[in-house]
Amino acid sequence: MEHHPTIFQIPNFLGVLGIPGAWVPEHVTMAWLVMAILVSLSYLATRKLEAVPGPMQNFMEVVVEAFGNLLEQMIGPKGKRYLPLIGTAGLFILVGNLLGSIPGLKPPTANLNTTAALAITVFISYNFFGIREQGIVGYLRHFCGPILWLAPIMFPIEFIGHLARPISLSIRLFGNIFGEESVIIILLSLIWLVIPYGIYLAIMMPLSLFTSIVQTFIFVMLSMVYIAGAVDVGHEEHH
Amino acid sequence: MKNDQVSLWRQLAGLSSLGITFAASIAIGSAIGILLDRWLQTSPWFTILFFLFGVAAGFATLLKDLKRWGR
Repeated sequence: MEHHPTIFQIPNFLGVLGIPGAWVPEHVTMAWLVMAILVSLSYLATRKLEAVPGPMQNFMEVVVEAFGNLLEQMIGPKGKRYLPLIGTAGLFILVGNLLGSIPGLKPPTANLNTTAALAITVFISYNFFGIREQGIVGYLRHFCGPILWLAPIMFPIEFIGHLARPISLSIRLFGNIFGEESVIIILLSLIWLVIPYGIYLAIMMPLSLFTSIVQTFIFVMLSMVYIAGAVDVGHEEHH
Repeated sequence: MKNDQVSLWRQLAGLSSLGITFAASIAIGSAIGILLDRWLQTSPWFTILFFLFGVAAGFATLLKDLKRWGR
Protein backbone atom coordinates (compact mmCIF):
# COMPACT_ATOMS: atom_id res chain seq x y z
CA MET A 1 0.00 0.00 0.00
CA GLU A 2 1.40 3.37 -0.93
CA HIS A 3 1.85 6.05 1.62
CA HIS A 4 -0.95 8.57 1.75
CA PRO A 5 0.29 11.84 3.10
CA THR A 6 -2.10 14.04 5.01
CA ILE A 7 -2.71 17.67 4.18
CA PHE A 8 -1.18 19.02 7.34
CA GLN A 9 2.49 18.26 7.70
CA ILE A 10 4.78 19.95 10.14
CA PRO A 11 8.58 19.72 9.82
CA ASN A 12 9.99 17.55 12.56
CA PHE A 13 11.18 20.08 15.09
CA LEU A 14 10.88 17.32 17.69
CA GLY A 15 14.01 15.67 16.27
CA VAL A 16 15.97 16.94 19.28
CA LEU A 17 13.82 14.63 21.43
CA GLY A 18 14.90 11.66 19.35
CA ILE A 19 11.77 11.33 17.21
CA PRO A 20 12.86 10.09 13.77
CA GLY A 21 11.68 11.24 10.36
CA ALA A 22 11.53 14.45 8.39
CA TRP A 23 7.98 15.25 9.51
CA VAL A 24 6.18 15.17 12.83
CA PRO A 25 4.31 11.82 12.95
CA GLU A 26 0.85 12.05 11.38
CA HIS A 27 -1.15 11.02 14.41
CA VAL A 28 0.61 13.67 16.50
CA THR A 29 -0.16 16.38 13.95
CA MET A 30 -3.75 15.22 13.77
CA ALA A 31 -4.03 15.17 17.57
CA TRP A 32 -2.81 18.77 17.61
CA LEU A 33 -5.36 19.62 14.94
CA VAL A 34 -8.10 18.12 17.09
CA MET A 35 -6.86 20.13 20.06
CA ALA A 36 -6.82 23.30 17.97
CA ILE A 37 -10.40 22.64 16.81
CA LEU A 38 -11.62 22.00 20.35
CA VAL A 39 -9.79 24.96 21.85
CA SER A 40 -11.05 27.40 19.24
CA LEU A 41 -14.60 26.02 19.52
CA SER A 42 -14.53 26.42 23.29
CA TYR A 43 -13.06 29.90 22.97
CA LEU A 44 -15.72 30.96 20.48
CA ALA A 45 -18.46 29.51 22.66
CA THR A 46 -17.34 31.07 25.94
CA ARG A 47 -15.94 34.37 24.66
CA LYS A 48 -18.93 36.33 25.80
CA LEU A 49 -21.30 34.30 27.92
CA GLU A 50 -24.88 35.49 27.96
CA ALA A 51 -27.98 34.52 29.87
CA VAL A 52 -29.79 34.03 26.57
CA PRO A 53 -27.19 32.02 24.66
CA GLY A 54 -26.33 32.55 21.02
CA PRO A 55 -26.18 29.56 18.65
CA MET A 56 -22.55 28.73 19.44
CA GLN A 57 -22.94 28.89 23.21
CA ASN A 58 -26.22 27.02 22.94
CA PHE A 59 -24.60 24.16 21.05
CA MET A 60 -21.74 23.81 23.51
CA GLU A 61 -24.14 23.98 26.44
CA VAL A 62 -26.13 21.10 24.97
CA VAL A 63 -22.96 19.03 24.53
CA VAL A 64 -21.65 19.68 28.02
CA GLU A 65 -25.11 19.13 29.49
CA ALA A 66 -25.36 15.76 27.74
CA PHE A 67 -22.07 14.60 29.28
CA GLY A 68 -23.12 15.93 32.68
CA ASN A 69 -26.46 14.13 32.62
CA LEU A 70 -24.81 10.90 31.54
CA LEU A 71 -22.35 11.16 34.42
CA GLU A 72 -25.11 11.78 36.94
CA GLN A 73 -27.05 8.77 35.71
CA MET A 74 -24.04 6.48 35.74
CA ILE A 75 -22.13 7.57 38.83
CA GLY A 76 -24.74 9.36 40.93
CA PRO A 77 -25.19 12.89 42.26
CA LYS A 78 -21.43 13.36 42.63
CA GLY A 79 -20.86 12.44 38.99
CA LYS A 80 -20.37 16.00 37.80
CA ARG A 81 -16.96 16.07 39.50
CA TYR A 82 -15.60 13.85 36.75
CA LEU A 83 -16.97 15.97 33.91
CA PRO A 84 -13.58 17.53 33.00
CA LEU A 85 -11.90 14.17 32.42
CA ILE A 86 -14.78 12.36 30.74
CA GLY A 87 -15.91 15.33 28.68
CA THR A 88 -12.42 16.05 27.40
CA ALA A 89 -11.72 12.44 26.52
CA GLY A 90 -15.11 12.06 24.85
CA LEU A 91 -14.87 15.23 22.78
CA PHE A 92 -11.28 14.48 21.77
CA ILE A 93 -12.18 10.97 20.62
CA LEU A 94 -15.35 12.10 18.86
CA VAL A 95 -13.69 14.90 16.90
CA GLY A 96 -10.67 12.71 16.22
CA ASN A 97 -12.80 9.86 14.87
CA LEU A 98 -14.89 12.18 12.74
CA LEU A 99 -11.75 13.68 11.17
CA GLY A 100 -11.35 10.34 9.42
CA SER A 101 -14.40 11.12 7.28
CA ILE A 102 -12.67 14.15 5.76
CA PRO A 103 -10.51 13.14 2.79
CA GLY A 104 -6.86 13.92 3.34
CA LEU A 105 -7.07 13.80 7.11
CA LYS A 106 -6.41 10.82 9.32
CA PRO A 107 -8.03 10.18 12.67
CA PRO A 108 -5.42 10.43 15.44
CA THR A 109 -7.22 7.54 17.16
CA ALA A 110 -6.16 5.20 14.33
CA ASN A 111 -2.79 4.95 16.06
CA LEU A 112 -2.28 2.79 19.13
CA ASN A 113 -0.09 5.43 20.80
CA THR A 114 -2.92 7.97 20.96
CA THR A 115 -5.50 5.52 22.27
CA ALA A 116 -3.02 4.07 24.75
CA ALA A 117 -2.37 7.56 26.08
CA LEU A 118 -6.11 8.09 26.54
CA ALA A 119 -6.64 4.71 28.17
CA ILE A 120 -3.67 5.10 30.53
CA THR A 121 -4.96 8.53 31.55
CA VAL A 122 -8.34 7.01 32.37
CA PHE A 123 -6.68 4.12 34.20
CA ILE A 124 -4.52 6.33 36.41
CA SER A 125 -7.41 8.74 37.01
CA TYR A 126 -9.93 6.16 38.16
CA ASN A 127 -7.42 4.59 40.53
CA PHE A 128 -6.62 8.06 41.85
CA PHE A 129 -10.33 8.83 42.32
CA GLY A 130 -10.83 5.54 44.12
CA ILE A 131 -7.93 6.22 46.47
CA ARG A 132 -9.13 9.78 47.04
CA GLU A 133 -12.63 8.64 47.96
CA GLN A 134 -11.79 5.62 50.12
CA GLY A 135 -8.20 6.08 51.24
CA ILE A 136 -5.41 3.83 50.02
CA VAL A 137 -6.11 1.03 52.52
CA GLY A 138 -9.84 1.03 51.86
CA TYR A 139 -9.27 1.00 48.12
CA LEU A 140 -6.72 -1.82 48.23
CA ARG A 141 -8.98 -3.83 50.51
CA HIS A 142 -11.44 -4.20 47.65
CA PHE A 143 -8.72 -5.96 45.70
CA CYS A 144 -8.47 -8.67 48.32
CA GLY A 145 -12.01 -9.96 48.16
CA PRO A 146 -14.37 -10.70 51.05
CA ILE A 147 -12.55 -13.71 52.55
CA LEU A 148 -9.28 -13.02 54.32
CA TRP A 149 -7.39 -16.27 53.67
CA LEU A 150 -8.20 -16.07 49.96
CA ALA A 151 -6.57 -12.64 49.74
CA PRO A 152 -3.19 -13.84 48.39
CA ILE A 153 -5.04 -15.47 45.49
CA MET A 154 -7.62 -12.75 44.99
CA PHE A 155 -5.14 -9.89 44.92
CA PRO A 156 -3.18 -10.93 41.79
CA ILE A 157 -6.42 -11.90 40.06
CA GLU A 158 -8.01 -8.53 40.71
CA PHE A 159 -4.75 -6.78 39.88
CA ILE A 160 -4.50 -8.50 36.50
CA GLY A 161 -8.16 -7.81 35.86
CA HIS A 162 -7.59 -4.11 36.45
CA LEU A 163 -4.48 -4.02 34.26
CA ALA A 164 -6.49 -5.59 31.44
CA ARG A 165 -8.89 -2.64 31.40
CA PRO A 166 -6.66 0.01 29.76
CA ILE A 167 -5.51 -2.59 27.23
CA SER A 168 -9.04 -3.47 26.23
CA LEU A 169 -9.99 0.23 26.12
CA SER A 170 -7.08 1.24 23.92
CA ILE A 171 -7.05 -1.77 21.59
CA ARG A 172 -10.80 -1.63 20.92
CA LEU A 173 -10.75 2.03 19.95
CA PHE A 174 -7.57 1.68 17.91
CA GLY A 175 -8.73 -1.48 16.17
CA ASN A 176 -12.10 -0.15 15.13
CA ILE A 177 -10.86 3.18 13.83
CA PHE A 178 -7.75 1.73 12.19
CA GLY A 179 -9.79 -0.98 10.47
CA GLU A 180 -12.33 1.49 9.19
CA GLU A 181 -9.53 3.76 7.98
CA SER A 182 -7.75 0.90 6.20
CA VAL A 183 -10.91 -0.15 4.37
CA ILE A 184 -11.48 3.42 3.23
CA ILE A 185 -7.88 3.75 2.01
CA ILE A 186 -8.12 0.51 0.02
CA LEU A 187 -11.46 1.54 -1.50
CA LEU A 188 -10.06 4.93 -2.47
CA SER A 189 -7.00 3.34 -4.06
CA LEU A 190 -9.37 1.35 -6.32
CA ILE A 191 -11.40 4.40 -7.22
CA TRP A 192 -10.69 4.14 -10.96
CA LEU A 193 -13.02 1.10 -10.95
CA VAL A 194 -15.90 3.57 -10.24
CA ILE A 195 -17.91 0.96 -8.32
CA PRO A 196 -15.75 1.33 -5.18
CA TYR A 197 -16.61 5.00 -5.21
CA GLY A 198 -20.28 4.10 -4.91
CA ILE A 199 -19.50 1.66 -2.14
CA TYR A 200 -17.48 4.34 -0.39
CA LEU A 201 -20.22 6.94 -0.56
CA ALA A 202 -23.15 4.63 0.11
CA ILE A 203 -21.73 2.25 2.70
CA MET A 204 -18.44 3.35 4.16
CA MET A 205 -19.28 6.97 4.88
CA PRO A 206 -22.40 6.24 6.98
CA LEU A 207 -20.66 3.26 8.53
CA SER A 208 -17.63 5.29 9.53
CA LEU A 209 -19.84 7.99 11.05
CA PHE A 210 -21.66 5.27 12.98
CA THR A 211 -18.40 3.65 14.14
CA SER A 212 -17.00 7.00 15.24
CA ILE A 213 -19.97 7.81 17.43
CA VAL A 214 -20.42 4.31 18.82
CA GLN A 215 -16.76 3.94 19.71
CA THR A 216 -16.74 7.32 21.44
CA PHE A 217 -19.80 6.27 23.39
CA ILE A 218 -18.29 2.94 24.39
CA PHE A 219 -15.05 4.53 25.55
CA VAL A 220 -16.89 7.16 27.59
CA MET A 221 -19.34 4.62 29.02
CA LEU A 222 -16.62 2.21 30.10
CA SER A 223 -14.60 5.01 31.67
CA MET A 224 -17.68 5.98 33.66
CA VAL A 225 -18.29 2.39 34.70
CA TYR A 226 -14.68 2.09 35.87
CA ILE A 227 -14.86 5.37 37.81
CA ALA A 228 -18.17 4.37 39.36
CA GLY A 229 -16.71 1.02 40.34
CA ALA A 230 -13.65 2.63 41.91
CA VAL A 231 -15.52 5.38 43.74
CA ASP A 232 -18.17 3.21 45.40
CA VAL A 233 -17.23 -0.43 45.11
CA GLY A 234 -19.60 -1.36 47.91
CA HIS A 235 -22.70 -0.27 46.01
CA GLU A 236 -21.49 -1.57 42.68
CA GLU A 237 -21.42 -5.19 43.90
CA HIS A 238 -25.17 -5.26 44.55
CA HIS A 239 -26.18 -4.52 40.95
CA MET B 1 -31.33 10.90 27.08
CA LYS B 2 -33.81 8.41 28.48
CA ASN B 3 -32.88 6.01 31.20
CA ASP B 4 -33.46 2.75 29.34
CA GLN B 5 -31.45 4.06 26.42
CA VAL B 6 -28.53 4.77 28.73
CA SER B 7 -28.69 1.30 30.20
CA LEU B 8 -28.77 -0.16 26.70
CA TRP B 9 -25.62 1.74 25.73
CA ARG B 10 -24.02 0.73 29.00
CA GLN B 11 -24.84 -2.87 28.26
CA LEU B 12 -23.36 -2.55 24.78
CA ALA B 13 -20.17 -1.05 26.17
CA GLY B 14 -19.83 -3.70 28.85
CA LEU B 15 -20.60 -6.68 26.68
CA SER B 16 -18.44 -5.54 23.78
CA SER B 17 -15.39 -5.63 26.05
CA LEU B 18 -15.86 -9.22 27.23
CA GLY B 19 -13.68 -10.99 24.70
CA ILE B 20 -10.83 -8.54 24.55
CA THR B 21 -10.63 -8.29 28.34
CA PHE B 22 -10.45 -12.05 28.61
CA ALA B 23 -7.56 -12.24 26.16
CA ALA B 24 -5.80 -9.25 27.69
CA SER B 25 -6.01 -10.77 31.18
CA ILE B 26 -4.26 -13.94 30.05
CA ALA B 27 -1.64 -11.95 28.16
CA ILE B 28 -0.92 -9.68 31.11
CA GLY B 29 -0.73 -12.60 33.53
CA SER B 30 1.75 -14.40 31.30
CA ALA B 31 3.77 -11.23 30.80
CA ILE B 32 4.06 -10.65 34.54
CA GLY B 33 5.08 -14.27 35.05
CA ILE B 34 7.71 -14.19 32.32
CA LEU B 35 9.17 -10.93 33.60
CA LEU B 36 9.28 -12.23 37.18
CA ASP B 37 11.01 -15.40 35.98
CA ARG B 38 13.55 -13.42 34.01
CA TRP B 39 14.20 -11.21 37.01
CA LEU B 40 14.43 -13.94 39.67
CA GLN B 41 15.90 -16.68 37.43
CA THR B 42 13.21 -19.16 38.52
CA SER B 43 11.94 -20.29 35.14
CA PRO B 44 9.30 -21.72 34.63
CA TRP B 45 7.48 -21.48 37.96
CA PHE B 46 6.26 -17.89 37.99
CA THR B 47 5.25 -18.16 34.35
CA ILE B 48 2.99 -21.11 35.13
CA LEU B 49 1.61 -19.53 38.30
CA PHE B 50 0.82 -16.18 36.75
CA PHE B 51 -0.56 -17.75 33.59
CA LEU B 52 -3.07 -19.51 35.82
CA PHE B 53 -3.73 -16.23 37.65
CA GLY B 54 -4.32 -14.60 34.26
CA VAL B 55 -6.81 -17.26 33.21
CA ALA B 56 -8.55 -16.97 36.57
CA ALA B 57 -8.67 -13.19 36.23
CA GLY B 58 -10.12 -13.55 32.75
CA PHE B 59 -12.88 -15.84 33.95
CA ALA B 60 -13.52 -13.73 37.05
CA THR B 61 -13.98 -10.58 34.97
CA LEU B 62 -16.08 -12.48 32.44
CA LEU B 63 -18.44 -13.82 35.11
CA LYS B 64 -18.61 -10.48 36.92
CA ASP B 65 -19.41 -8.57 33.71
CA LEU B 66 -21.95 -11.15 32.59
CA LYS B 67 -23.67 -11.00 35.95
CA ARG B 68 -23.78 -7.22 35.80
CA TRP B 69 -24.81 -6.70 32.18
CA GLY B 70 -26.06 -9.90 30.64
CA ARG B 71 -29.70 -9.86 31.62
